[in-house]
Amino acid sequence: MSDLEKINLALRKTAGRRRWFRAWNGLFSGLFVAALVWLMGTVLFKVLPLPIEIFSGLAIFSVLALVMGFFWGARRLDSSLETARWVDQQLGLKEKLSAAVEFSSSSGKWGKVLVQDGVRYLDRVQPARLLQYKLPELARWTVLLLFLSATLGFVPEYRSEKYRMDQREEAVIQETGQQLESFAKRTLKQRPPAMKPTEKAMLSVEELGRQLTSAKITRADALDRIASVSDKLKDEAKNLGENPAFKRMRQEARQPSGAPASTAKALQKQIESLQQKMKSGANDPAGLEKMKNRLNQIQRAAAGMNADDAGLSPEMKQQMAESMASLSQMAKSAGLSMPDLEDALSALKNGDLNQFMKSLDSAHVDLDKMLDMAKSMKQLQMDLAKAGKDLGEQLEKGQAQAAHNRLMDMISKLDSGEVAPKDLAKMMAEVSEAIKPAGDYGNVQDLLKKALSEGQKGDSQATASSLKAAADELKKLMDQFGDMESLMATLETLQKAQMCVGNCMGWGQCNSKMAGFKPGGKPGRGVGTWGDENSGWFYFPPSADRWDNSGIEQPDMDPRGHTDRGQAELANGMVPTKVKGNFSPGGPMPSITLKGLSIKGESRVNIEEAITAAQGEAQSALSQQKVPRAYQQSVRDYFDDFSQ
Amino acid sequence: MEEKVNSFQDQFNRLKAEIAKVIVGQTDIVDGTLMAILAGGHVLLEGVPGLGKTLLVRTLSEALSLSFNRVQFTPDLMPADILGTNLVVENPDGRREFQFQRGPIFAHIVLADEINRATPKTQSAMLEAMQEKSVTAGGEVRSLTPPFFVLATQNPIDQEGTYPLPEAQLDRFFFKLLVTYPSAEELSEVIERTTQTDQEKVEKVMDRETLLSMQGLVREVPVPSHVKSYAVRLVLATHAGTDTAVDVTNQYLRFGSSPRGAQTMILAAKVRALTEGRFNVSFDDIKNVAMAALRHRLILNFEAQAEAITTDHIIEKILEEVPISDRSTEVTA
Repeated sequence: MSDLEKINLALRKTAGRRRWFRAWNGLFSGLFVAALVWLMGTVLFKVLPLPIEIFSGLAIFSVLALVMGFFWGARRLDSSLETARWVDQQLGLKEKLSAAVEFSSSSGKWGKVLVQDGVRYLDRVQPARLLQYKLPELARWTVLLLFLSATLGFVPEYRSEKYRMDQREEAVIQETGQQLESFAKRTLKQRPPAMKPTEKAMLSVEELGRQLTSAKITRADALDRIASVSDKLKDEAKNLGENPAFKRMRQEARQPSGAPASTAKALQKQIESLQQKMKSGANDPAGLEKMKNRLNQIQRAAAGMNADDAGLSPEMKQQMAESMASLSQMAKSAGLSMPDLEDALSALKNGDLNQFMKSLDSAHVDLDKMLDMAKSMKQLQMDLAKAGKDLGEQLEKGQAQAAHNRLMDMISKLDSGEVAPKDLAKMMAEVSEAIKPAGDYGNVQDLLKKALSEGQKGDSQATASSLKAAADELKKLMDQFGDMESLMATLETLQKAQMCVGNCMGWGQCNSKMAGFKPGGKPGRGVGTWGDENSGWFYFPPSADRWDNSGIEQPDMDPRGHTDRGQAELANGMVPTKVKGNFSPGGPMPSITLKGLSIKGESRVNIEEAITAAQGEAQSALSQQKVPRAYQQSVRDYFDDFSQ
Repeated sequence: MEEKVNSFQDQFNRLKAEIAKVIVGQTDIVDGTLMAILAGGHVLLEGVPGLGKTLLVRTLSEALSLSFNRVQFTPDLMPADILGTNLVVENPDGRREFQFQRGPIFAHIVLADEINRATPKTQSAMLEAMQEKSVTAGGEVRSLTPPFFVLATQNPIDQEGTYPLPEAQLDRFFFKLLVTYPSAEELSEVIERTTQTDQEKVEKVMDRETLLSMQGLVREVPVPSHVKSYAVRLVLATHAGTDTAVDVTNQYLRFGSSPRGAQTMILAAKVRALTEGRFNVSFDDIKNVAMAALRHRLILNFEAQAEAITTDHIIEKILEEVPISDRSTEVTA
């Protein structure tokens, strides 16, 4: 290897080391920049209303700064001449290496001399000693900046009240929108509307949810939109609700029984099957309950004796045997066959306490089963009593599904062509009975009449066809009723949405803050508030039905024990203003201005009715202390003005 | 080549040792003077009387086998007194003709003692000789035999009746060396040597040919490009009002160095490299000679004069502020 090659080799190694050393330093420079920008970002976030997402941006920037710093440092490999100059400077070689590299290619004699001179100093060129990896000075400042950033993390950020309110409003509106959208989607998927207008109304709710979620709109605007969609749905529901059949169907739907659609026949079958299983006539749950209690007492007494391990004294044995005999007698008199009781009695006589206990346990299990079956039978019997026995009763009681099933039964019998004239007459008699109650079910009455006349003529096919038309009409009504139920549920959800947006409360909070509940949103008596750790777990949906409470004696709701503390003092801005006026078209309405939500819209009820209803509600609100004390007199005055 | 360099170093050290027999201390002055001679330049020695300026030049002339003339500059000295003049002489044939009578300038070493006492007219008579190494008299150009050096002295005090050297004249001096007072030890040694009967006799240690060959070698020494660039940047930094000027320049200088400043620094640096046995010029060489090469080439403004700022102070600042490398080395071990 020539002298020049030796020099170049040493310089190449040094240049490589310099490159990585610069990359190392670049990495720390990038870290410093990232830490500085992070600190500035944190400071800005603390004082300005910036979104939390800026930290994602800062994190990306930080990573980029590190990578950029590294690659910026490593981007260039110095030439031999540059490296030689740097080495000369670092080692104080009086420019020997750089001169050697620079003049090595010159043809003169000086080039050779310089290279020979330079190679003498190569042993001093050791890259690892010249460039030792250690933390640069910048690293200390970086640590300081990161420490400051971390400390700032504990400082609460400043946000104006208006900003907080806007943010909360936005979040509530978005959450409400999401809930509405998902509700509408779920409803459309699970119970597709039968009618186009209902489907359109449901789609409008879905669209409303989407608008609230995606668009940035104000609370007032959101309320307007919700109110607009609510109005549409109310109109739709009102149109559907005018059908008198729905009143009966709704009454039936409100029944607590779990099998409204079951026919009397099916219920009878279930009862028979249950009776077969019981194999006895003991179907009185109260008697069985009594026996069970007696058996429990005997078991407890026996368990006490067993625990004492003292064996049975003749007196105790006698006492126990008497109790057992009494229980056995009770079972027999109830028509129950309980062999385990007999076994227990014989084990008692033999003094085998373990066998006695086992037999008692078995008897207990048998008794439990009997009790369950007896309860089920009782329920079925109650359902049977409620279920319509024939088509007429079913229609009368609003059991549309059962009536539909009955009609389909008749149709299948008629279609089979094996209906005896006697059966047909019986069937026609049932149809005849059903004509009157079918009056509320649209065309069903006419179709039944038609079927009756055709049946009386003995035309089975025509009768079946008419009954089929009646069944279809009934099915259509059921679908419409389903639509109305969906609409009512949707309306209820929209009301909840209005409440959430109007009160700026989360979806879950709206559930828990029900009237009549304690301040913590939980039911029951007590002092203080309950921890709200499971918001929304109690939700009683408000009834959408109207009922007439006239004639019902309401308890005296007037407050007791409240001393009159006079008018509460209000801030100037909160004092209600009162405008006197007359009821004349175009003239000013008597009104008071209260702080709170104002919902605008068009009234569709008579003013007199509205006033009466409003006065009643106002009186109720006042008596239930729902109106702040400071406003009570103003509210009284306002509603009294209407009476005049 | 290595031998030549070693020989150069030896010759230089021998000459220096010979001078040191007479001159006590003043190492920088002796080195500066020798550097200027080896680079083929003229030296202006400035110092108060009695510091051995004239003795140094005389000793130097004795150590070198070169012709030496001394001119004592006085206000009534005329150019012809230095350059020579045409005289009417009678030739052997009895005819009269003009014959040029050479002045004291026609020597290898000319000592211009107290040069600032002559009038500008006389001082300017030296211009051509110093730059062109020739003299024009009676319409005829006469070359001076190389090597030719002017070693001038001047007194910074006692300015009455003196004529400051014009800038053009100053620029032609290779170095301006400031002779300072000797230290206590040096002064003791001076007293020791000069108050005894026996005086050291200076021997001639270098002939003309050797000196010329040494001057030739100096010019061959390679200068790395970044070192050359440094010298250039130093000179450019003295140019007030330009982008390359440093702050102190803009504040205190009226005019900066001429290109001769850069030439001087490079040549002097080459000599210094050889005297240290090196084959190339380094940044240290440039820094070392910058003061002597530039101090007489900078012209101070009124503010500097008012604040008693010297050119040496400005050059120090420039050396501090001008980086040795164009691209500062960002990585430090």
